[in-house]
Amino acid sequence: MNLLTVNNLTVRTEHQSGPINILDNLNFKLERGKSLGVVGESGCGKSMTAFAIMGLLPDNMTASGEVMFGNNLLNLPEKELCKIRGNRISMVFQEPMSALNPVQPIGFQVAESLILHKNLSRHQAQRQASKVLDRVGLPAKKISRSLYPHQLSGGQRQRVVIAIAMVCEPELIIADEPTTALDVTIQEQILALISELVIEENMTLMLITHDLGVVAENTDQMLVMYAGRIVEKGPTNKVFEHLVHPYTRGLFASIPDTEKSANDLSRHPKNRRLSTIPGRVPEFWERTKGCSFADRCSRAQAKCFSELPDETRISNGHSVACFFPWK
Amino acid sequence: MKQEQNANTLLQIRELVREYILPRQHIFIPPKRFRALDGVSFSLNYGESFGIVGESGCGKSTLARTVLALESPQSGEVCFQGKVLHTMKTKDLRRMRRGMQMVFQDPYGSLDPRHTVSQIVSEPLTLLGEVTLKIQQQQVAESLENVGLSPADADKFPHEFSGGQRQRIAIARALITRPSLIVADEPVSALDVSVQAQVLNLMMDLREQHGLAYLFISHDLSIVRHMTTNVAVMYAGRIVETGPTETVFNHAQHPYTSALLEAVPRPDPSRKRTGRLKKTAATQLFPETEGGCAYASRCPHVEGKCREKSPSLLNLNNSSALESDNNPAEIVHKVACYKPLDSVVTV
Repeated sequence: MNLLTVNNLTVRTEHQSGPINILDNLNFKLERGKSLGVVGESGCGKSMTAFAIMGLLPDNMTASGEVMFGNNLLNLPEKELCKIRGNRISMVFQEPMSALNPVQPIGFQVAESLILHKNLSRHQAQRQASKVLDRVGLPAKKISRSLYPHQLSGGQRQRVVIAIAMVCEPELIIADEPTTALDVTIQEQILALISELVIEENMTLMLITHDLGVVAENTDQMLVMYAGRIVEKGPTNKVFEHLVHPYTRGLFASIPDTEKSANDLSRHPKNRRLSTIPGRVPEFWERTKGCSFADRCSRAQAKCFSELPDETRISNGHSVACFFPWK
Repeated sequence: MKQEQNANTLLQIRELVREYILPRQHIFIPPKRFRALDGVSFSLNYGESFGIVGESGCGKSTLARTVLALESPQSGEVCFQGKVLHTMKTKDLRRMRRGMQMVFQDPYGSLDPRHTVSQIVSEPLTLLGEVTLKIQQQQVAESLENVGLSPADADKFPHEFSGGQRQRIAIARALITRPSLIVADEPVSALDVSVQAQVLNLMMDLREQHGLAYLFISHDLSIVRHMTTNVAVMYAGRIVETGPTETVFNHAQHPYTSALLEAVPRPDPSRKRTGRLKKTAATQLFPETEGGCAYASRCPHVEGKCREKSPSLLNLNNSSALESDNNPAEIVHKVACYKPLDSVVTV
């Protein structure tokens, strides 16, 4: 059963040069109990997708299309959305320091949404919050509930943010780059914690990241976004196996390979060059009529610059938006 | 540890200690001291690239600043081209600095938005004050071409460039004094994945063309593995493992190194987490320790000895120790642990 269905989601804004689509016709589904990874580089619209779903877009942007989560979230009045945010859909933000309130103790920050959404008394909520903090690996014996965020380390703060997100037992958790600000060993702990919670509490996860490794290890389905569009989507293992879209393939080739032994290559430094994608990600006002990846693409032909490729099916559930995909 | 100065050695660091005094907690209690660097020693040859890996707070950036004499150590010394930096006069030090340059992490913060590219790139030359304006302009153009920008870009301002191009400008600025050492502190972590590779390739090309040595500091293990020939792993201000990059990465001996390598997410869906996972409790990154090994509280193979005295950095096996006596510039695999992983496996 689909928990979240996004149809033709388009987000527009006004720019000096006229109206611009920040997000362009996004379509995807998210099954209950599954996890979806969204990958792409900065400025491709990953975070905007999350904000559009949550109804948190900046004032100068308008969303059209459908975000079906029971009802169409885009048509709900603000008052109804407030009942859903933090309760049925919640979000884990990138920067744990700015996501937490520096002048309130962590116990209260976790309890706050229980008081708001579940009509618990302050006392009940604090007790419930304390249990959730235990659950995310911050036992009351070691981490007092009356500590303030600045007294915690980065990893501990991110655990508090996760506790806030899951305290109301939401159906959907959107994690926007939850580990970018953290070290690798702490990143591993936090990702393990998120996966663990998703599996045990039967939550659904949307994981936004720029790290292909994180997507591979933590998600069932994935979307690859480029310049406001979805260029490839499908089950994570199939996308990684085939790498059909030239952008996905380029992205994959440009990360240094940790597995491959570079022993024999090290004597010839030229062989160790990384393959690159020429050029850079276009700013959103520079996007062209055709495929926005065309000017960086090695397989581009005249058609790519004038027409927008439709989504074509590769295999069950795996589709790509490209005229000349890799086979 | 005493090593003979070798003609090939560009940078030699001996027993470097840098302490910071923490804010006083109470007026009658002396302030605590934090050892950011605790007896760090290594050497770097001409044209070599040396990687420093470790998590935030382990002292990587303090090391970079101390190497460039931007901070002075409490004890120990930094020898650059055979001269000890910290006892030098300011004037001599300034001249010495032409041989070493730095590339910073954030290309949005490290370039003055009100200066033109030409002003930014020529600033090291202006400060040295040795050449005329005309020669400066020529060198700026040359330096920009070296990093793949056009000389016409010299009159533009930083905001007209993308992140990758800005990092190229920062590299051009570092190259203009024709240094023999470039200290790169997380040079690509602020860039997009597809642009990272372009900058890394550029850095490798420049190394070959100009015979540069890099001190490459990063938390990204796969990039360090790709870029460097020798590597040191730091934890809580100490080097816990060092050696040729491939040896260290393929045969990690310190439990911390192997934990670090294990934690890197790989683009391989078969490693997906499934089923019930082990409960993950929060661990403190650098817990306070008294005397013992700093990693003891996180280490799976910890024993009594580890909590009493901190292990020193020793050669891994005797055969390589012999080699190093013959050729002091050769870097051998060393580890600071009482129970290196090989010994755990065989027992």
